[in-house]
Amino acid sequence: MNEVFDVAIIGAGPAGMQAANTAAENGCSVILIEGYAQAGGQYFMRPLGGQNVPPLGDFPILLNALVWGIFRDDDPDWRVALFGLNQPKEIRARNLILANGAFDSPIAFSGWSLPGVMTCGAALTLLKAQRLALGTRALVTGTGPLLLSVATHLIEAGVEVKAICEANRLLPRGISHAFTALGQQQRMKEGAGYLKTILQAGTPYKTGWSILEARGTEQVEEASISKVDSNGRPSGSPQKLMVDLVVSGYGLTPNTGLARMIGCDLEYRSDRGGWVPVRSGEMESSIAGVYVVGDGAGIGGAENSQLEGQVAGVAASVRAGKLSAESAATQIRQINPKLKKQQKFGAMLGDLFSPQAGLISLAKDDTLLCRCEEVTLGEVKQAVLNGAKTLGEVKRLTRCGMGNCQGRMCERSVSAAIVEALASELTDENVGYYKVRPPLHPIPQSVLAE
Amino acid sequence: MKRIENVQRGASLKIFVDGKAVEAFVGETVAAALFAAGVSFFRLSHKHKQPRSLYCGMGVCYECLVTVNGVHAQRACVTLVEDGMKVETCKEVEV
Amino acid sequence: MTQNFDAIVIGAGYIGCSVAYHLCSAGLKTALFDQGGIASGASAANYGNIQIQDMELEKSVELTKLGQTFHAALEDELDWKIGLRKIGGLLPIENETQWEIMRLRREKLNRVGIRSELIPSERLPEVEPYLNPQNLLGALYHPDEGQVDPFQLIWGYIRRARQMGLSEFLQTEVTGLEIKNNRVCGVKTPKGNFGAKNVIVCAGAFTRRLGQSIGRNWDVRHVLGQAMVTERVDFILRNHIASASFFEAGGELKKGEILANLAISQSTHGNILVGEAMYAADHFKTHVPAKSMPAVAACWARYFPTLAKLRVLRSWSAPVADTSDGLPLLGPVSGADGLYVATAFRSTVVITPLVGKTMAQLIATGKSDLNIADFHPERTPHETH
Repeated sequence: MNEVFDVAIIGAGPAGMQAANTAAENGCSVILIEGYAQAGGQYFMRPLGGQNVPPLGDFPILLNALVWGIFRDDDPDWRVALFGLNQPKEIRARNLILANGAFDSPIAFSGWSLPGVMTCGAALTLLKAQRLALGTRALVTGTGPLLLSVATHLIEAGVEVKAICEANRLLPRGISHAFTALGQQQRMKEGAGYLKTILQAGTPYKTGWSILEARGTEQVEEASISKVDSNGRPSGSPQKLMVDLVVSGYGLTPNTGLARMIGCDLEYRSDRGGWVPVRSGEMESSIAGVYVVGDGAGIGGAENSQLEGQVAGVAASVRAGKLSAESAATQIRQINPKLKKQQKFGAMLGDLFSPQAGLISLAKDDTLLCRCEEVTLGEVKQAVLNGAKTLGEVKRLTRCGMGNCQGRMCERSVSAAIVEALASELTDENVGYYKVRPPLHPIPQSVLAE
Repeated sequence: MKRIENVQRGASLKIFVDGKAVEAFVGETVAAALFAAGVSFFRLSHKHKQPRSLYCGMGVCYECLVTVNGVHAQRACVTLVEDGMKVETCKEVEV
Repeated sequence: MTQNFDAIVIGAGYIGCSVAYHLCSAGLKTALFDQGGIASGASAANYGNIQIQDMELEKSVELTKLGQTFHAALEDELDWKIGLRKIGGLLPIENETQWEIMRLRREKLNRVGIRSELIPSERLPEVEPYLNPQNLLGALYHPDEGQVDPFQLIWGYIRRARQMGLSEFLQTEVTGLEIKNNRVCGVKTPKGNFGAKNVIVCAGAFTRRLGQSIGRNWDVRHVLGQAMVTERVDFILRNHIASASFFEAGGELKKGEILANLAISQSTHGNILVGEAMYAADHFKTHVPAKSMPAVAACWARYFPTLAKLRVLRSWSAPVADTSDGLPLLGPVSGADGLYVATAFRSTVVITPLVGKTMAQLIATGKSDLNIADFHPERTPHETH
């Protein structure tokens, strides 16, 4: 592909699809790049070939195309390096919209690396898109409305849900958000539907509770749960449940790998899932021509993602010279009130359902924090005792973050463990975050050498 | 784990899991096909040889790695099954 | 209130941490400065090879030979595991020109007592089974080399230095040196000035601009070097390997040109470090250019075709210092008593312990056992860059 596109959008979830549509509607040459086999992201996850995805405009869409690097060097244009069967090696674009979504926040607890322990997102994909009944007896643990959704789908698939443990207490804080909640009719209807299924099944919904430990030899066989205090620390006597599936859903973490790789400035926002790119009101990052939208820029939900995608599509169109500033302002004026409403909703969810800092106490000294390199909490604490003060120093001493996933699964836990160990000196912000370098995903040398 | 019954699926096909023929369907991921075939873990961790299986389900955690048609370290959760595919579990890279 | 120290070390890489440790051991009140964190420049990009492969052969022989002897005792001295292991070094030869260069090199090395052997291509498979001997005339082989884990080595020094009272000012760029009456008296930073009787500049590629801050034209230039690391695999490489093409006269790198030569090492953890690409620039940016990884992978595929399936996990880039005569800057700066430079060492790991000891000796006694006359920081007036 020799063409230089006005805009390349990376990630075809709600934000990316909308950004691509908006930029194309405004006259930009657009290409949408997605690593999975179909567009839709996690939100529209469905059986292959299924419907219920917003329609996409007439522009090239690359599927099964993994972005492993983004380069600019001395060029004015961005070079997006791709890996995948029958894919071009590279796409060039003048502007980028990153819409990489989020992944379930990996919360470490004793036994979390056992087969049969999986995230909420994983369970939902297997239930809704792959149509699999994930076991016979399940524990759902975490925080947030997604727990109700996954419990409902499990029950409908014939799995017995022994308990739903919601780590946060919802009252009295929930009352102050009543008006915000009432303004979201569609979501309230969904939520009511889930609650009905759960109540009819007799599933206990325990607020202020969490998993303590998953146990088993080759896979999960039982779990213990207990009350947790408002910081997320275990506070009551444990109860044992016989389960062969544990679904862990403690909120979402923005997938900021590409933003980090390009060198966008990040800021720490605990109400938006942690480290997020610094952005202007038009979704532009600290690097001109690079926009970041959707959950990949801070957790806000699907409607928020679509609106942000629209804003970035408009802004990129102006930058590409395809849209006048006046027309852009008109479009943005229509989007802004809806965006503000979604931001309020997102703020409510963030206030009610953020995973508490004390959840790090669910990990014991022999619990793995870095699953890839098999580094335990005890080893991280030892590194701190030996003088390590930042995430980078702990990484170099213990090798956490140096495996296949390059720190995605351990950054949160290792940071929390360092902050906990050096409580008087550090916060989540100054402990730092992992730098990201190409390749974004491991790729064989043979592919690079071609 | 078993497939949910009375669901319209893609066309039936055959894959091989550690040498054994197993039924799967167009549109399924290797992970789903493995789970439905009764395979509960996909690999052993390098240092402590612990059994590991799917965790994030979306291709970022790199736990669900299997060898597909001789190519090592493929993420089962984002790889779709194909007719005749050879899947091997618990296999480290061979040089 | 200005803080005052006996010694300030600028640069927290291999050299700076070793120097800081040795100064603390000698009882000096020492402070370590770095614009980043511990080992955030070229040292973090390093393979940890204890090697003589790229050693300059005339004047740095004593430095290198002596340097080699210290690592074995380090683990006990520092009470820290540095992952030391003995491996060989191999320089594959592709053409007659390289063969002749390597032959002369072998003669010189053997004369100064460093074991070195020319191996014809038929014997390569017994020395390095996975190396593709096709298109190779043979290789120069050094059996007595070694390897450490870079982070662990540096940490071993820093941890002990901290225990002995080292003060650290990380994320603190030294923007200038204070000289009064031909004596160094301290350093300037955005966080204020700090006083010191001695200042040792171990700042790698950043040494030049520190010199410029006091009107000196130190002969330190830099290139940006890239490498990458693969997934872990069984221990299949017996040596660290660097193509003899490194030694072919190539002249200066043209701006924008990326040059790749093979430099491979299997780390103490089993991952394979694959490099290197390099390009010349005035900046210090550490992004990885688009062409670097494919260039390095192409080298790798040519030499190790059966290993091309190994997956790359990460790449990096760092500014690496060098001098026009290939010798380091090591010693006092004239006209500025108490100011020293210790930087631009090739194969830095091999001499890290020795340089630390030497600097501590120099500062404490005014003399050093090691003859450093050839490494005077201002031996080559460097007019343009």
